[in-house]
Amino acid sequence: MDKKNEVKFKAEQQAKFFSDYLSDKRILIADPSSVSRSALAKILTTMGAKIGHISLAMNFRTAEEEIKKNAPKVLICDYDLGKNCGLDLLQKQRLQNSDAKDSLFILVTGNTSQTAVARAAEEDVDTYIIKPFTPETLRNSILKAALAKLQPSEYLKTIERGKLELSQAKVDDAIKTFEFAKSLDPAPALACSYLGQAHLMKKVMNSAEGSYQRGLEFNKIHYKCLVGLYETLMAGNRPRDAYEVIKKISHYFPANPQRLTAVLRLAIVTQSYEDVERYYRIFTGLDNRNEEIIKYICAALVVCGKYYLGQKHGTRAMELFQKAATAASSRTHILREIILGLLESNYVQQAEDFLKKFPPETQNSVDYHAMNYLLTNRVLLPSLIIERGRELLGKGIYDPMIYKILIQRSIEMGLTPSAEDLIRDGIARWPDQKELFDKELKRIADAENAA
Amino acid sequence: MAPKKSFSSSRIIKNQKPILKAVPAPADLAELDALVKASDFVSMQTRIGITNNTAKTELLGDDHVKLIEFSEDTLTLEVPKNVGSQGHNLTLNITVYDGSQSPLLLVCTGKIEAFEALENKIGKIVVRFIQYDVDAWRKFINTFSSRQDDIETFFRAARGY
Repeated sequence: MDKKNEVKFKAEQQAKFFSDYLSDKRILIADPSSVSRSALAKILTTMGAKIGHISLAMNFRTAEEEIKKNAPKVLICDYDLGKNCGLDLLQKQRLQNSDAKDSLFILVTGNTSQTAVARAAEEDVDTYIIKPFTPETLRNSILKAALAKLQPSEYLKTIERGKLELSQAKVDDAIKTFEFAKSLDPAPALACSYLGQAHLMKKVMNSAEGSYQRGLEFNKIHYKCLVGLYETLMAGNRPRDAYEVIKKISHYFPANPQRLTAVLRLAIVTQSYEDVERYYRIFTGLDNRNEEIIKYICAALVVCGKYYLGQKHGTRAMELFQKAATAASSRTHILREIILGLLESNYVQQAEDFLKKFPPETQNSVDYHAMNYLLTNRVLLPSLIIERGRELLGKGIYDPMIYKILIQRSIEMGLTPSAEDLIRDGIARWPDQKELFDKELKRIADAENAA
Repeated sequence: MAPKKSFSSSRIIKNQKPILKAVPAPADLAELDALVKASDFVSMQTRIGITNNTAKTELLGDDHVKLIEFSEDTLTLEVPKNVGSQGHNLTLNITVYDGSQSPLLLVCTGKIEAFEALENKIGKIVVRFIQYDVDAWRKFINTFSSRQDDIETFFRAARGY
């Protein structure tokens, strides 16, 4: 057989293998576009799927029900399924199919954003095909992914054996298996990552770090090696080194909000303030922002802004505060922190500008009243400040800042009994801030001694 | 099929969506960026305007027009059901925003070879080209196939197999 015929024969064999595989498998196509669903179904039937085994779902909920009901082995879905992400169906499919080795999860989507692609790679989906597609591209990509999964190389089979040994806690056997796997591939980053994991299980940190580093020499963005190395460095209490690694991870795999919180935390711990704006840009590109990541990004921007105020880089600080205010939306405590930071550095006009950024629906909040009172305190007469403060308390607006100002002004005006009452009340309301009120008590004692 | 005539587009598709910008790499990641061009993964957007030359109707940059599949000389589109019927002659203005400074424009005329009414006022049409710009069409195909290659390269690198 000549070379050309040999290639043709091999391709036919592979197509036959996949056709046999598909012939008895249940398939689910989840896509909001009916044209897309029918086009995908048509192509799959030309590859060997039985039309009666193909289910179609136009939304996430229907797909979820179909997975529960029929546990499809092959799932083809769009990344964007209405308000849901198609990728979330992967876990549901894995729950229904205990043996993931003979099931396929394929994304066919018009979403080519870095976050979508990286998240898919991170979740280990079998392939990612972009829309619009040609029938030929679709067939080739599916076939390639299926053969890699269903007819794994000797290298991948050996890794699977090692993973099984790891799951049975035969760590030394697994290490030998992964070492052997390394000899089966010219760039065995995956074997190195599992070797690192095995060493980490044995708590041999140097070997774990070495294995991950070796894997990254073969492949600089290997996800499992990067994450393993980061975890090893964190476990070894090396935040600076860990930060350098997680910085790379968040650059290439930006979709995971949990990771972004970790990288923000480390950026602050290691005082890498110049990086925070970059994480803000990653944050703005996230599809799913949970409360925790919003909290972290706002806090990091405020901390950085304060740092730049301290460095006399007012303009840069203002930019960061502005971003924090935008991300914070109606989270008033962030605006409060910004105003406090600005006043600490004597940026009074800017602080007043940020007070105006409280959204109308939050202008009844305690934070708004406290900050308004703090700014008013700088311009009104003490008697008027006391009057305003009492009005606020009369309306049931309690805040340590209001108390502090009111106490200080009362002392200045010689209203010591009133100040003492406020201090007692303040300690009762905010026992964790006793120190603040004790300072005021000391001021009273000092004033009396001086008199 | 031989192209009969080249077109240049002066039409502007309305309501174009903003292009997502990739996060620029810091200096210490530039080396890695050379390995895998993460900056390439700017989400691509395709906007399609349809003029039905037979029915004398026009649909500019409608969100309900989606390009699903293409072959050497056909396009399969999801469209509002009333866009046309089998045999109608259409002019398609396709703009692909791929993150580069100038979006890719493809103007072509074609005939609705097949029409299928689907649910919710949606239809599927297969348009066979009559006239198109060969260079623009080649660029169009390359844009999508090179993006597919980039994604597969990234996948292989990230997973290690």
